[in-house]
Amino acid sequence: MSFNLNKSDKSLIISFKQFPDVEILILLFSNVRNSSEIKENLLSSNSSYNYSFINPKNLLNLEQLFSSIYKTLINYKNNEVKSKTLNSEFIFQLSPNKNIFDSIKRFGIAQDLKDLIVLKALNIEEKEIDKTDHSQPNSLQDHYKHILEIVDGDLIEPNDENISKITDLDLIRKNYKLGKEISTDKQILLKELIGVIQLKGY
Amino acid sequence: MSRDLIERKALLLLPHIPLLVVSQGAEAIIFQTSVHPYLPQLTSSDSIYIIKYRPSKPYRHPILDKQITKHRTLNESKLLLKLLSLSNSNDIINDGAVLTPSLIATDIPNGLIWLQFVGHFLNDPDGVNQKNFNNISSLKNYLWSIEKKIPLHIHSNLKEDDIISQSLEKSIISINYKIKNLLTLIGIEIANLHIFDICHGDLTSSNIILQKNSNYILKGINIDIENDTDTDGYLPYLIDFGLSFQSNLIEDKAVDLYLLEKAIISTHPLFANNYYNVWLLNGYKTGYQLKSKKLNNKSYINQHKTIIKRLDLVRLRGRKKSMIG
Ligand SMILES: Nc1ncnc2c1ncn2[C@@H]1O[C@H](COP(=O)(O)OP(=O)(O)OP(=O)(O)O)[C@@H](O)[C@H]1O
Repeated sequence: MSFNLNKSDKSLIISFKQFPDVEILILLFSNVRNSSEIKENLLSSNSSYNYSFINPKNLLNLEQLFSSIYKTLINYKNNEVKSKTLNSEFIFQLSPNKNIFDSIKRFGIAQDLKDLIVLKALNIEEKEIDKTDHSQPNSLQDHYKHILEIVDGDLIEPNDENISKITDLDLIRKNYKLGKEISTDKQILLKELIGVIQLKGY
Repeated sequence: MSRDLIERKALLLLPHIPLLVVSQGAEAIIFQTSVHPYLPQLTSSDSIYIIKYRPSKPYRHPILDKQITKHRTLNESKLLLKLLSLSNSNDIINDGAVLTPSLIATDIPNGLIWLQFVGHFLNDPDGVNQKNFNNISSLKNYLWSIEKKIPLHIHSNLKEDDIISQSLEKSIISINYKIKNLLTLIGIEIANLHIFDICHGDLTSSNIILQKNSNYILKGINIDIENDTDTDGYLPYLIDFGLSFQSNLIEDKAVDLYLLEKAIISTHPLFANNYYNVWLLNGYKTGYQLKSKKLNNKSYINQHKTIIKRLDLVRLRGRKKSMIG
């Protein structure tokens, strides 16, 4: 996998060995001030909000996110994408839940959300999207700029340390339905979450 | 299907992933690779990941074939996840954990599972460390490496089921109290598995892999263990859940134990009946005792008794069968 963390513009671009063409841009924000505005635009299908908006409180670290991105690409390859767009599929695959609507609610953007991950996959064809729309940004640079225009918040480096400050273990327990006996060993908990993500839908 | 063809199929599913064959069974082929599916390459690049691949079988009906592949791959992955979520720590003794390789990634419809590599490579008799899966730190290889150290004339004088002379026994045991501790621990782990109502289905000394973990000692239990409560720094991991299943039946658990016993007898004939299997079963009992104590619930002791009683019957059945057959 290639992992390019640009410390000066606080962007992360990853790409997996098995999917060398697909590039994924990942940005992390704190102190987001316009979550409800973003959410409204998503609800009204504003096409310039063509990104995955992910709630990072559900994440222990980047590995968990990467694991679900990988799973989404595997599903894509196998023609098993369940939701309407890849953007929502990236969110859906983080969730253990089979209900798309409920998953997006829990793992996507919420009205008062202060922390936010924005994700964009490039060079992967949306199967149902009109590709003739040239008004959309299409380079990583363009997307980066565009995301900064959309999100009113502080860009922070998308790394494990920053994510761990956002992690909400109670929320994770609830959203992953782990019951009371949640492991206090973070490494074991991570393995469990990854297992759940990898077997989602089965 | 030729190995060559299987490898080509695997490469189509895993483009750009370097694959090295580790083993090929009837149903699955095991690859090792240095590449993690979704994490950056570590700078120290001798990391190993395991890929278990169940290729489609050309002689099966395609639809049925897909279902079988999916079913078996899913069965194995689900049980691995189940065990992971039932075990809240690495502690076999105090938390009743069962240690298994963790699930890294899956491509279920294509029969692929990525697993954490457990264990390490043992030295050759000449002390050379070859990174070869023939030398993987399975229980089998570990026991063999120690058995080999026992002088040859003793080996040749031993016959299956021989009671080893007391002085010889002392010398073997004193070198190998670690084996006793280790097999006790494995027995406890198998009890933990059965207490979770999961049967392994293929317990053998190659499906138990020893992972170095110097931090782990057999503390805080009252089992008959030599004063040095060491297992040579090893933690036993169970692998190969391809034939595993959920069951709370006494019969299934007894058969699971019986198969292990048989496997130990065939790979370690000199020491199985008087030592290894005794220690394993002692550990198994201890596992149920620990659980009973922890939950203050005597029914675990009774369960253990019933399983062992059934094991006697299963052995008897096995002997009759082999006499007829
Ligand atoms: N997670 C792992 N870590 C280290 N080695 C492993 C792992 N999984 C498998 N192996 C190695 O690969 C071998 C075969 O694996 P496994 O038993 O899962 O496959 P299988 O096809 O079911 O085998 P068989 O048919 O021989 O029982 C093991 O004996 C072990 O040497």
